[in-house]
Amino acid sequence: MKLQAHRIRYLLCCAMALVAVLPAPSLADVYVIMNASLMLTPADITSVYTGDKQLAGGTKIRALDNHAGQGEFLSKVLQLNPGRYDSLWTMKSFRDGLTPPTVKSTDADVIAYVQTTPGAIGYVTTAPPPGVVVLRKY
Amino acid sequence: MQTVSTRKLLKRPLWPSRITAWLLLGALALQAPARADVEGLALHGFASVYYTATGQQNAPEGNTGFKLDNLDLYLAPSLSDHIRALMEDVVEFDDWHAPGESNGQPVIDIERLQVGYVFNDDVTVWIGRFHTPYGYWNTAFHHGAQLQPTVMRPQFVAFEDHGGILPAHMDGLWATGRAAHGPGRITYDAYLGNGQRILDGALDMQNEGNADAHTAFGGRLGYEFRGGALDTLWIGLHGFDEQVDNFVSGVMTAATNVKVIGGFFHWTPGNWELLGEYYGFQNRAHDGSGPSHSSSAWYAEANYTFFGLITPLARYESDRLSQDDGYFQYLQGGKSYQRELIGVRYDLTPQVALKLDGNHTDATRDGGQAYNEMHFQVAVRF
Repeated sequence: MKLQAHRIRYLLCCAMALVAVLPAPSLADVYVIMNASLMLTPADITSVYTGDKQLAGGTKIRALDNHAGQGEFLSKVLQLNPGRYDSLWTMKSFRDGLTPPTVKSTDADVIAYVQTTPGAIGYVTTAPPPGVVVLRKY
Repeated sequence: MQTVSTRKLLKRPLWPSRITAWLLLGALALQAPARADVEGLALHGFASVYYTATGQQNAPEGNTGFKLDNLDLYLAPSLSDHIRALMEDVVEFDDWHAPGESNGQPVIDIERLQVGYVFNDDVTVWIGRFHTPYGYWNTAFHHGAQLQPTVMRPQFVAFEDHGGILPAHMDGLWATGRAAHGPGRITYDAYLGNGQRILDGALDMQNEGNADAHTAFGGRLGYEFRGGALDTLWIGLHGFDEQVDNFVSGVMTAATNVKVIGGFFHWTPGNWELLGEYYGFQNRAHDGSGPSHSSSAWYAEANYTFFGLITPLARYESDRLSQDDGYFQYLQGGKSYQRELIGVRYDLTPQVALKLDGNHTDATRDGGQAYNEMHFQVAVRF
């Protein structure tokens, strides 16, 4: 009995660690939103988040990452894992002097910034309120 | 009642579970930390330490032992919508010294100090000190040891004070950008700056002004494939031209017109990374006396990453440098060699890499040594 309890404890420990290490399954929707002043098309989203597009019609693009929804965004939109995404921006910053997207913690933080900041673009996992432009829903 | 041996026997199947649990917990602890809310200016950098075992005798860079490679710190502030800057300082330990001299004194180098104006996504012009845009390695990895697959750069693209034969840095103006063309895009770099000179066997990029009044200029023109069978392939040509004077104890002993034309490629099909560079030199004494001298240098490297973590690699590098050429005569690294290298890289986390490689180098063509070397490196970025 004692042996079985040990075994169950180890298996539980393994399962918990495995769940924590593996990426969460993608379930939520992702809405890419932007300030009304920004002129972008859905085809520009990847270029913005990989550092290839910094300006839109003379306006500096201010991209945001959303900590709460980054996993969903990276897997659905960029098809990258967080490690590859981090490496990509390290290289862009080191080689070209680019600044990676500013990280916000929640959907509410992203929406508040995008609503009030010209050139801002971000993504959220809940339907955004009026006052921002939905560039594309994934 | 169970005997001790029976208990041991029954416990044995638990070992894999225990090990697996520890491994998984270890992996959990080593997961890349999520980037916290970041506002303002972030300081980033690279650091690396390594162990070298070498059969080289009395060579300035050839000591066996643990080595502090460098600590690289850089800032990339965006100063306005169209102006950005890049500043990079490195603390390194000079090892290009004569036997018996001080060994590995820390030196602070301002690697890059450049301010750029972004006209649009396709044109940026920088002024200041920058990494000279030739080939792939110099601008892609430079002091970012954690980014590069191997422990060491190819010898001939080493830094100026570590035996390199190319000007890794330039003080001047640099226009860079790209333009969509067909399924991919054209990339371009054009620069001019202070001419280099040779001081005590090493190239000096004259940070304090162009004392010799020689202007260096050069460029790189490439094409990046997007989509199709050649997706991610970047291939191009590069070249530069300048007069390089050699000084010994403040006295000019030679002046050489250095002309370089070459090519490069970098390609990441699937889990492969393939890269190579070629440089053809056609140098001649500045006063026109004597013939021009042909020399060449090249490397090719291939690596394959398994499970996103383990990367075995192989590289061949070689140069054939004319010893009648005033440029190579005075450079400490201006001797011909060839090197076969194999190694493996393990990415412990996205920020931490362990690298092990070994090489056989033959520099006997110009009177050097043939020797074997092994490097083990821990390289981090932050």
